[in-house]
Amino acid sequence: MTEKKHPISIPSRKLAEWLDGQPGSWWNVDGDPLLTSEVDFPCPNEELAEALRRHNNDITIFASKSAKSNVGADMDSLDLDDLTDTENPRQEKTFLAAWKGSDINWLLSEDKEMAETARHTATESIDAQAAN
Amino acid sequence: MPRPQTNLHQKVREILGRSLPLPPEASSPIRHFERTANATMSMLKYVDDHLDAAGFYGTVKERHIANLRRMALASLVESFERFLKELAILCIDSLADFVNDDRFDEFSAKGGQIAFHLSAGSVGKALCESDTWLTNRTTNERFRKLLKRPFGDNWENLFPEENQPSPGERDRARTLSILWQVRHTISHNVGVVTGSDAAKLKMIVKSNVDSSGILTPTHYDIIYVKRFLSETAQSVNRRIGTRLAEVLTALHQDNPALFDSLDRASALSRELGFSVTINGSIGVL
Repeated sequence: MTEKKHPISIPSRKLAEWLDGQPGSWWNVDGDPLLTSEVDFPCPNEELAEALRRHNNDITIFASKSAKSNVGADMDSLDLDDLTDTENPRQEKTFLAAWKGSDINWLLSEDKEMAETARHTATESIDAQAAN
Repeated sequence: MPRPQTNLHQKVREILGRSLPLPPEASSPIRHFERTANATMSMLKYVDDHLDAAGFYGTVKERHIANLRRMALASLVESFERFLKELAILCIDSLADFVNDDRFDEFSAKGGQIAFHLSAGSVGKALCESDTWLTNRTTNERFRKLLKRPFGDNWENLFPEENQPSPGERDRARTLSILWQVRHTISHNVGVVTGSDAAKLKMIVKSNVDSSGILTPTHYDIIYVKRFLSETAQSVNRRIGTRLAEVLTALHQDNPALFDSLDRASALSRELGFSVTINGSIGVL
């Protein structure tokens, strides 16, 4: 796995907005005491986005490559997709991150299997309702 | 080269010197539970993902992961047990200074245990931490009495029996019974479903359960157990918190000099993770 070197500070609401743009995705957080004591993981994108908005603090992302913009620059042009690490068996989007002022690094990672299972379960449920 | 001489007696004792402080979330039972349960899931996912990447022998990996999932399943149920204890401790420590009745008589701590635990500065810990909370019946009996109204009747069953309201909570109680039994099977019989385990499970699920096999939960089994326990913990936290606030309200109405209702409501709200009201004072999170 690529060693992460480039710290990029973003508001948690920016990360929440990025999650909003990925409907149907599921996520895990590994190691953050704050989020893991509040959210039942794995969770759909909207549940994690809601928790990130509630805390409204800056998050440092340790990306494998430098961003085209950083704090102080145009945050709207920051492409988080471009900064994710996908060097893993399922090419799941992954960030190493830390809350501003904290020395605890944690992993934010996509869960494609869970998203697929949730989609399948939702379809079965809709089919069952239609049959009744 | 022969195996070197090692003082194994000493090595075992050295474990006792290795511990980490509790995380700050431990002051709130529900946050502590969520964090512990999420950590179990993260551990499983991390190991599973990275063994895939390393290209280990498939059958060997499956055997090890199956063993790890069994341990994770037992750990999730035991985290829930710890959550129930921490909630009971919170209730006892919130009430101990203001009540003089038999509500603590369900706890069986002996004098020696109490002497040890008092050094932690909590009556609740002294009464709760040495007991196990691994059946619905035990949990019901303790909370029913603990959260009765002053000089009133016992509270409802936290996990209702077959003929008790409400249907939703009854279903939850029955599923929880399965998990208590599964934990027993994993912890005491390394996952082997004995004849006795199978008979008990058969009565709960009302269908056949094979004995003599080893429980082999899948990745998704663990995810759904965790989600069930997480939703149950949220529900239990809210029911117990609301009831505790009602009992404190009754005590405060009887004697407003006992405590400051706003301070008490705010402290309790922070520990429970949601706002409770005591005698009209709304707790600030």
